This record gives sequence, structure tokens and C-alpha cells, in this order.
Amino acid sequence: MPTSKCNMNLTINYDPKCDAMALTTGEPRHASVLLETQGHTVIDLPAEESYTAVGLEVIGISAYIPLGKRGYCETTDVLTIGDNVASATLIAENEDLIVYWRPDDSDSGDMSPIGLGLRNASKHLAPLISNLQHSPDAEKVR
Amino acid sequence: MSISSLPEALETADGKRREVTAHLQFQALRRQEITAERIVSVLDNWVIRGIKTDANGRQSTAYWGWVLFDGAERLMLVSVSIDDRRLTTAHLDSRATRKLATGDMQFFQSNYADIEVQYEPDH
Repeated sequence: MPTSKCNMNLTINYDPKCDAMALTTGEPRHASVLLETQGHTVIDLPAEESYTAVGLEVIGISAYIPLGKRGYCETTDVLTIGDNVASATLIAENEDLIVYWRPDDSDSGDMSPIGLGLRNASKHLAPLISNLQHSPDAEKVR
Repeated sequence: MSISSLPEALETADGKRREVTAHLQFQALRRQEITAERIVSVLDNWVIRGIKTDANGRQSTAYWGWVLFDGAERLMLVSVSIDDRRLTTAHLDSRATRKLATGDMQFFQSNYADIEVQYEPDH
């Protein structure tokens, strides 16, 4: 199981068998929420009522790697997961990790996570990009 | 990195044995709620089950069940590969817990296909 640490204390773990990436800041995590998207993405939070991310989980990450396949802006080096992030009413940033929120459709006043952004994506994801390029298992998941 | 407490495979009450993936082992190091007992409990006593499609179009089965954590009943997700052989991931979901506790099924209907519900009136 390859584990690599890149700058800003983001740790990435990739499991080719289920094409899953876990990315953590190393800060304490207490809760999780599913991203409202077609994919399977989970945001780890430091507290249940928090909006900032201390970790991400993306199943099917090879849909985004190599960068440029989907959701990547080369000019800004930001990888965005989720559609319609422009409709967010709350943007919560934890250094390079960004979570986009908007009120959900119920009357509960609950906020719904609709997107994620990763700044300096090429640096943070470098170990994963390398792994997917060189691992024989990576060929199976592409 | 400490060693995960999860075994290599877990067996449910129906005798089905599923492999614990390296990804789930890794997540168990960080998500305190992930234990063998809770995973098996969710699979044995699920209240909602549905199909999730990842960004690559690959599908998995999501099992949601109530577990006790920090003195409160919370909804936990356990994800199983579509061939029913591997446990992919698991986590407590604070938003899903609020949604089901208030009877708001829209959250599940918009995120999963082929939803089955085994409603427990106690919750």
C-alpha cells in the first residue's frame, strides 16, 4: 500500500484494488459527509458542525488522473470534484483544501457539500500520478 | 503508522465472508468508528441499501445501518464491491444521520439507485 507525504502535510494513500484515494491533513477528524455528486467522495471534518475539510476519500480517483482528464484547471493547478460549484453560498478553506457548500433542498436549514477543490493539485497528487503511471494494477483500473 | 485492528476478512451472520481492502484498513486508522463489530452489525442489520456509482462508472453496494458511537445512535455507511467480495470503505455520516432521523429520504434517493429500506421505527 503506497503512502507518500507531500508539502503542507497532506498525506495520500492509494489502493489500486478499489481505485480509492485517501488524503489527509493530519489534523484530528471527528465526522464525515458524502459529497453530493454522482461519484463516491467523502469529506472528513474536524467536527460535526464544521465546514472545513481535514481529509478526502475518493473512490474511482483514476477518473481524474492523469490531471486534465476531468475537473482540472492547468492555469490555477486546481482539481475540482463536483458539479456546479459556482452555486455555492459557502466556501470553506483549509489551506489547499476547499469545500463548496449550499443550502440543501429541505427546509431543515442543512448545508449540502456540493464540491471540492484541491489547490496545488499537481504537487499534492504527484505520488498518486506516479503510482497510476507505473503500477500494473493501474492499468486494470483505467 | 500503527497497525489496523481489522482482520483480513469479515464474516456476517449469513456466513458470507468478505475481504477487507487495504483502503478500508487505512481508513480504520483514522476513523475511530470503524471496527469489525460495527461493520458486521451494519451488514447484518442494515436499514437502507442502495447502489452507488463512482466517478469511473463502477458500482458498489452501500449498506447503511445504526451504530452506537460516543453515546449516540448514528448512521454508518459500509461500502461493498458490486461482486459482494470486498469491503471497500466505511464511515459515520453526520448528515445522513440527521436526514434519516427526520425521515428525509431525498438524500438517499438522490445519491443511490435501487434503494431498499428496512425501516426501524425505534429511530
